[in-house]
Amino acid sequence: MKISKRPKYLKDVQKLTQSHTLSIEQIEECERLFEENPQTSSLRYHPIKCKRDKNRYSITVPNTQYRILATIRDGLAQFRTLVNHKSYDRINKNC
Amino acid sequence: MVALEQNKLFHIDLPNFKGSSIFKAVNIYITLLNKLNAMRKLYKYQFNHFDEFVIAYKIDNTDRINNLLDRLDDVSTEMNHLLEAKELQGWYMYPLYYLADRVEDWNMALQGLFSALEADIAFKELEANEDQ
Repeated sequence: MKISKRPKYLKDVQKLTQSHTLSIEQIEECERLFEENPQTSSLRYHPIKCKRDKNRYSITVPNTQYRILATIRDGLAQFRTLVNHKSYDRINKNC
Repeated sequence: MVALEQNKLFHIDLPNFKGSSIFKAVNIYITLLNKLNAMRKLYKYQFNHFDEFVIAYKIDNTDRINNLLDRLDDVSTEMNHLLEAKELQGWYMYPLYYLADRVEDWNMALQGLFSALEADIAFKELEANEDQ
């Protein structure tokens, strides 16, 4: 699947790697796995119920509590944000 | 909207009840309480009236939305620092902790809505480019 990275996602990646919360290798590995096969079990790829964004999906960065929120349409995945579990719950609440 | 687009929304000064004047500390405490409550109300209002808000301020392109998401993210970073602060652990700081948590809650919910709007516009722009 093709990936497009939105500015907010790039900012989140930069912030998390600079604070050494996640390593760039972990994120790149996750992106690579997703590009090859989104159904890889460690990615826990699944849709999210959101009235405003019906194509929103969640992808777990393997072995971490961090999730990538992506919008997927016509074979293109737009990575929107990279957040921890608490923020993930908050961002999808009442969506 | 003005508050959202400002570069620096506010500076957080935490009250210090040990070592400084009690009047000064109480003053800072109440000011911070008011600031946080105002932000909580602002975000809650914008979340509940999101469609009107988007139309009124003509938020119709991805650059504008990304700019707003940037600002909200900066506030979120400030709030997370505040929530993790050691000074906020005392029982007498609970009202501040509670309000900061609510602000973060509404802020993230608002970011979720902006993110959905950005997705919609980004894909429309992509389709328009393909048609041309």
